[in-house]
Amino acid sequence: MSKKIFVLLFILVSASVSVYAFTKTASSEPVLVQSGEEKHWCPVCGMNLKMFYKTNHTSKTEDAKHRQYCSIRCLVVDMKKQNIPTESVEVVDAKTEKLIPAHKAFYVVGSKVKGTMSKVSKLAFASKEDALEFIKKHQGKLVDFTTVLKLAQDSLVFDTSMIAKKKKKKIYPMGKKIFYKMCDTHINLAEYKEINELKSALKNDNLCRPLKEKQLQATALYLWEVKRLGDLGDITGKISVQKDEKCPVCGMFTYKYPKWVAQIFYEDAGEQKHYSFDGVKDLMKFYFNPKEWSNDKVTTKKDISKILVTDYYSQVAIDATKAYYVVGSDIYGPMGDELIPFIDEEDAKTFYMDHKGTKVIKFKDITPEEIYKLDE
Amino acid sequence: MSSKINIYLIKYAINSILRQKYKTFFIVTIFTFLVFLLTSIFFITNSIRYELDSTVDALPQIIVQKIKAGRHYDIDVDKVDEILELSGVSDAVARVWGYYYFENAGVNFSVVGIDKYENQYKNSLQSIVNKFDFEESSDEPFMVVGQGVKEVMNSSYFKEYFNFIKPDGTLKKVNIRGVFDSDTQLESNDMIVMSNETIREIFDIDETKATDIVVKVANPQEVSMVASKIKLMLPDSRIITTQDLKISYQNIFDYKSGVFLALFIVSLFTFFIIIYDKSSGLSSEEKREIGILKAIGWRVDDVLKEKFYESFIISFFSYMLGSTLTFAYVYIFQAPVLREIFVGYSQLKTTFELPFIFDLQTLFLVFFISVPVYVAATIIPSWKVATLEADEVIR
Amino acid sequence: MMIELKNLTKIYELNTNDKVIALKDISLSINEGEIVVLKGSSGSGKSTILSLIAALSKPTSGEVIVDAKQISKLPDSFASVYRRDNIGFVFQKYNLLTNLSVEDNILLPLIPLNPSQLEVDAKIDEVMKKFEIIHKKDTLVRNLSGGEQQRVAIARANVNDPKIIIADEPTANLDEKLSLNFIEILRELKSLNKTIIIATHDPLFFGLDFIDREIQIDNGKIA
Repeated sequence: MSKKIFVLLFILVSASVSVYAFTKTASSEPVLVQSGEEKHWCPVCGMNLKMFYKTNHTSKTEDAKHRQYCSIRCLVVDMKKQNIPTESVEVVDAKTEKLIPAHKAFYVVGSKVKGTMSKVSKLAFASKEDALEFIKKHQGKLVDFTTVLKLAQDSLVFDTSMIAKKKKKKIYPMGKKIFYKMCDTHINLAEYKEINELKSALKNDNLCRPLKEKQLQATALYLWEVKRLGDLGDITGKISVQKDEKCPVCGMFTYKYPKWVAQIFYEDAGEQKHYSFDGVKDLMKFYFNPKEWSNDKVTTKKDISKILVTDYYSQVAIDATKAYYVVGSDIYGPMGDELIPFIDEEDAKTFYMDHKGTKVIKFKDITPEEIYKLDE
Repeated sequence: MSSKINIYLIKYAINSILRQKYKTFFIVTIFTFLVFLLTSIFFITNSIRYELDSTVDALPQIIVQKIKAGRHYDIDVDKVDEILELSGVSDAVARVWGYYYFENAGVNFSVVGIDKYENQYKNSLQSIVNKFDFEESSDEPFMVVGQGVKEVMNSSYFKEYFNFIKPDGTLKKVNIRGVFDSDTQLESNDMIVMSNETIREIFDIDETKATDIVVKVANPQEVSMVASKIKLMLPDSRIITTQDLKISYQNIFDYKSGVFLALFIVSLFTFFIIIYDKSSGLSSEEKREIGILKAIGWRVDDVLKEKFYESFIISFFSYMLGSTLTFAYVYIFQAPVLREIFVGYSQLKTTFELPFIFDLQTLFLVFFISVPVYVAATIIPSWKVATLEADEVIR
Repeated sequence: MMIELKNLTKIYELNTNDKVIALKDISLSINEGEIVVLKGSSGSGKSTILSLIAALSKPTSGEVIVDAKQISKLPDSFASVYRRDNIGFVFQKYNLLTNLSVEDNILLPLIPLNPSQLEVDAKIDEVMKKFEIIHKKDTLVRNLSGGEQQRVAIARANVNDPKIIIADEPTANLDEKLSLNFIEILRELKSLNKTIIIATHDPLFFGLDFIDREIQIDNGKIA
């Protein structure tokens, strides 16, 4: 009996060790099909090809250019942008680490191995036996290339948003810091056609002081996806209110409720002025009928130049007209039931689920009836 | 007329205090000592509580630890990515840290690793990163240490660098780049800050592993929701929120303040014994005085007013003296002896400073449990005597 | 100021079983400006009469009427005010605060009036001069001789300018020379038209020309 348990334990232990033992990094020098110094990186996402070698895919575009991707996810992205014949796609055999035609490969989907830029990993094998052996160790399902391609296409939106969150919260801020501390800030981003070219330049043309791969990637991503587009994604910061600002609707001091503060801006003799509110509800009451609450400077909606609300999750100022609002949740503002604002629709939906909201609405769909119903 | 303050009555009261030199001296001494003791206890506990609170407040809102076989275990760095996906999470950082036992001095250092480009999870770390250039361009690893650590290392003749002993027994030489001091010393005095790479080498922690993960949640209202989601996502983890930490710190603190409470009760008890003794009767001399004053035309309230002035002056003076002494004792001399009760931590931690807090509440509290009690204890027996027939008292 | 005692009885209850009858149904009236000597051995009840007149104690029965007012039924604080305004009491043991200076002792009856500094200084100076104690004004009373202490007591009794002066065995602690001195002081006070009541068994007071009446008290009764 105890022997059996021992054997079982041994199997379990060895199995778990082998999960850890499997890495996607190339065990020897990888085959890199692209030319130039940028060949080390994926042209779509900029990731290091060697580090994710076992999920690498390659393609040959119509104009006979070789491209190599960190994963099938980036291949799918690239296929949307340019014409890539499916037959030209090759994939790294996770066992032999050699490039093989993708349509002949046996794919293992959904094993315990983590995916590259995707929730679900997709590993290819030249021989069916190798694939089955892998499944034995790491679980997963055996499928062919067409299925995998379809799978990757279908999960692209989800995978992209998952990565986007991480980038926004972590990688861009880090990349920005590194860039301003370690790099030549006069860099002309228009010179580079793709992110791997940029990365190669950062590394090899002395644009930055020596960086580790992770830091280089963060810097490149920041430059490519944020700075190149004019730093639009930058967080604008919190709404600031003075200590003497009262909500014109309820008369409470707004600085006491920084989590809820919202503002309506208007022009007065060329100067920008604002009203502050202790929640979206009071702001909307004002918005629907400015005359009732304001001085004579704001009489109709047309006099309003800008509306800011505080994003519930990130606590930063967001454009009220672009936000999503959750109604009927179990979170209360200083004035009771509230409309909870989110800039991200998905965040709004998550909140709606978490906090038992009754619906998610857009700014333009908010009605006065809706607002006054909250007070009941 | 009666609303005007009676200077003669006050003069008489002062005169009366000065006349009874020994009694006055005795009462002022006891009273001052008690006020001193009470306010000191409160001041010290408040200062330490403040110190602890600000230490805890500076901590990350959520800490995620991996638990294996009931023990804290290294966590996968990848989990950071999963946590970042949660709505409401504004940042997550994989921390590498640990305690290094320095045998020569018999003390533990807290060694903390940082990545200078990450958002630091603590203000104190951010200021360290800002102040000391964490440039890894130089090949030699380095660290920034707390004042206490610096002193311990100095006394072991490690002035420029320190040799850490790695798990495999080999030495790792790390240069001392500088010394930091932070607002709250209780926490950081024994701290060493170095780069994640160096600390990984010293403690032999794999690059895919971290000690724990700290999570920042922009909206404090969402902390518990995020914490429960992480728990669902990582069932083998232990989630510690700032709230939990505060409670556990509070427990330690409460235990320690039990000792203080005992001291507090003893001193209060002494005070009331003295008061009781005083109020249980006046000396025949005092009785006669009241009788004489009544016989020559003082009303009961004149007598009581005088007694009020007398007791108020003496108790208020003692109170002020006691609190002034406390301020000096606690904040200038840093409360020698008494604070030892609290700081029973390692040798290193005894050197923290008590932050100055002007604690009006305590001052009021001590005022109200001492001065009015004493005044009442003086007036009540006087009133008893004063309402007797004057004839009876002076006969 | 007219003083009337009507059917006064005073019984001291030492405890429930032990009573001392100090006065038995005494009636007496003293006219304004009159100077009266109450004679009798110690324990005869003279001091009790003085106490009742000064409202220092209350009669067991009967009434004390001063200036048409019922003194014997006054509440405690009114009794104090009555003493303050009308009575100057020279106690047998003087009842001075011996740790205070002469001046401070004389000041005591004035304190509850909360008078102005000028007023106080003038009054104290006046009585100290009148009773020849001004040269000792800063001396502590406990360092004074018996005669000096008595003069302080008299000065204190007079500082409020009372209408009635009461003296209880004023010469008990004095030698003959000082006693005669006191009698001279009395004569002077008489000329100020004050009502004076003296309880004494000192023969020096008997048969003096300025004394209006001598009343013999024996065992709590007028003999």
